[in-house]
Amino acid sequence: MSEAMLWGCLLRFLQGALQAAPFIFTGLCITGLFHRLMGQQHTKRLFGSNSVASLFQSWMIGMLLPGCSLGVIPIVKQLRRSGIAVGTIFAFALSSPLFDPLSMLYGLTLSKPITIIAFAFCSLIVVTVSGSLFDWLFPNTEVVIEEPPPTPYGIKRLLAVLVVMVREAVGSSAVLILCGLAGAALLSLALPPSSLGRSMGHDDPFAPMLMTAIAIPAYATPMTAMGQLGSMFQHGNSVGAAFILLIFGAGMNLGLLIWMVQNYGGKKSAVWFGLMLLVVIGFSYGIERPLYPRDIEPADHTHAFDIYCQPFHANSPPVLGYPSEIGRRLQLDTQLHEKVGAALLAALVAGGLLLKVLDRRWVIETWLNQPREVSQHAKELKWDIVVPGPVLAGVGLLTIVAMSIVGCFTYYPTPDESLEELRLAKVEALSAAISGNKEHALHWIPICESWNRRLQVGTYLRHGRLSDYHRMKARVFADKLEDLEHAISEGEREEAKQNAMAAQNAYTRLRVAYSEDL
Amino acid sequence: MFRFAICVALACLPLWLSGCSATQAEAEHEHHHAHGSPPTFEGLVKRVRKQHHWAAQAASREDVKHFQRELRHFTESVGLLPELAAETDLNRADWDRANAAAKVLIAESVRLGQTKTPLADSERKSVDGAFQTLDELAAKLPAQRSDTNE
Repeated sequence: MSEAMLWGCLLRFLQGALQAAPFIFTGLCITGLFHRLMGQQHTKRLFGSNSVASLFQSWMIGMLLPGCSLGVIPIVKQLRRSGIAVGTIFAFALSSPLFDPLSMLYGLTLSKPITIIAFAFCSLIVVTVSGSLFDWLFPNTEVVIEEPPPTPYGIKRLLAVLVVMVREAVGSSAVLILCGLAGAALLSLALPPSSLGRSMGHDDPFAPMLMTAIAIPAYATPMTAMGQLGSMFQHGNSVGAAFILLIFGAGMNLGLLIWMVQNYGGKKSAVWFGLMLLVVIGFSYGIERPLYPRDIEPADHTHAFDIYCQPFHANSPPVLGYPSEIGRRLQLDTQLHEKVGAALLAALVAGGLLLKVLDRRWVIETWLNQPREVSQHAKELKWDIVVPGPVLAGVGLLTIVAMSIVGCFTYYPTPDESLEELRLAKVEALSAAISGNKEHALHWIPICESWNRRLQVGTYLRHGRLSDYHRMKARVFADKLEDLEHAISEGEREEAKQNAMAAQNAYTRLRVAYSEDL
Repeated sequence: MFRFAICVALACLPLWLSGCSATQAEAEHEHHHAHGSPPTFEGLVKRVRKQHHWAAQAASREDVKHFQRELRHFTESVGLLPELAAETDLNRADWDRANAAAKVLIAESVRLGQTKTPLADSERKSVDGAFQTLDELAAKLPAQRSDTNE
């Protein structure tokens, strides 16, 4: 194994960890709310169990709450503790990472939004069919676990939620999350750089099978998966492979599978997994023809899956060394919300480690669960009512959903702001392309592509629609950027200069369309 | 090579316009060269008109093999119209007209594929209107080059 492969594996691990950080933090919040405020009985009532209706309920809750396949690990543990059946748990676990408001908006502004709606509907059928069959085969998967004593109301009750979060951040959930990240990192060892560029063609009958093998260990956030789906549609790739990427790439990881085997044994896990494979792969072949976009000219290759492959070429190591290159890439690629998520997660881990040290002398839960001492002279105030824990949990969950909707407006700013960001990124990319600075250009082109997409979604979000005219102007700019990227990757200097000029012209028309013609 | 193809196509155009009937081999040669990627919106508009004519001719001759090929080329070219129009400085209203004309021609390609018969004179109005719109829009772009690479 070469040095490039090992450092590449580390880079993929760290990239995955940073992308997952905000979702893992959200997952821990939800777990804390279910554990200490909602309680087992009300959680089970919310999700249902062992019925077709419960599968739909769980799918619906999963669609509403933001999450990723690593962030759902602590939640599924809590659902199991609440006595919910496996089919229902996995209906939630699979649907939560597929869509969130950010990625759903992104998907709805793609050229064929009906495909995204069809994918969402297919995911419902997948979880309903596989969950129903599994619950029918194994009806007794609900476990009974004694609930910890309730925490008295007041600040202690909120502290108890935080304590659950910090305990999970350093407990078995953390180990499973690390396993999930390790799976994605190890996958890169098996895939040479850019090796998946020509493997997902619409006319390749093995594309869905290959995607299954890649997507199960791979890790993708909902936005990453949706971005790749968009790229697959744009390149005329296999629709079935795109569906599998969404279900398994975004919805599944190694950590989740290990949790399943640990808690339900090899036989049940194998049956559940077999059912999933059967239904998902069956669907993928079924939708290949009806959902394939006919107005797209298939491209001969794509860079959409490069993030699952080795990032470094063994024969061209970074000039400043691998550690420095990894640091540079992480610094450039990491977005603000990922940095905030990572900082919050680090604080939770630190808190968890501190509690582990304190546990030897003093267990915080004992203090938290002590009943309130009410003074006999205390007056009962008319408006001083005790809000039940489940109500607080419900408000907490709704706040998370509301925050994710507010987040959409931040992530997809006004068209003017997006155009300004796009202009800055475009100047960097095109000037680097013209002057022959390959690495700089290849770094900034995806940023231009990202702002081009955010421009469209931001317009859709604020105007309620995106006209064909605006969609086409953005598509032309995206196509020119892609031509430029290919020319630079292949070392064609003259062609790159011509493509840079074409991209500049396309940008000028895009700016006119979005700033003067909305 | 592409410039050569354009020269050949342009050289043959007067003959074709004046009604000179080319041999089958010559016609195929011309068709072959007219199916490369067009450099401009204006070039594509001319090509679409030709391809529609060839597909209709093949349909009236009941020449199934050529009809299928010409129809496929016509459909592909029509699909490119909105994109190439977006690569020009046409304003939004004009682009919308180009897009609407392309939709009419897509409907015509579907009709042609299903009925395999050319349009009757009484039905030609919308298709002719679409071609006329495209010609007008192309004429608005006199010396302008699209950004598509040749």
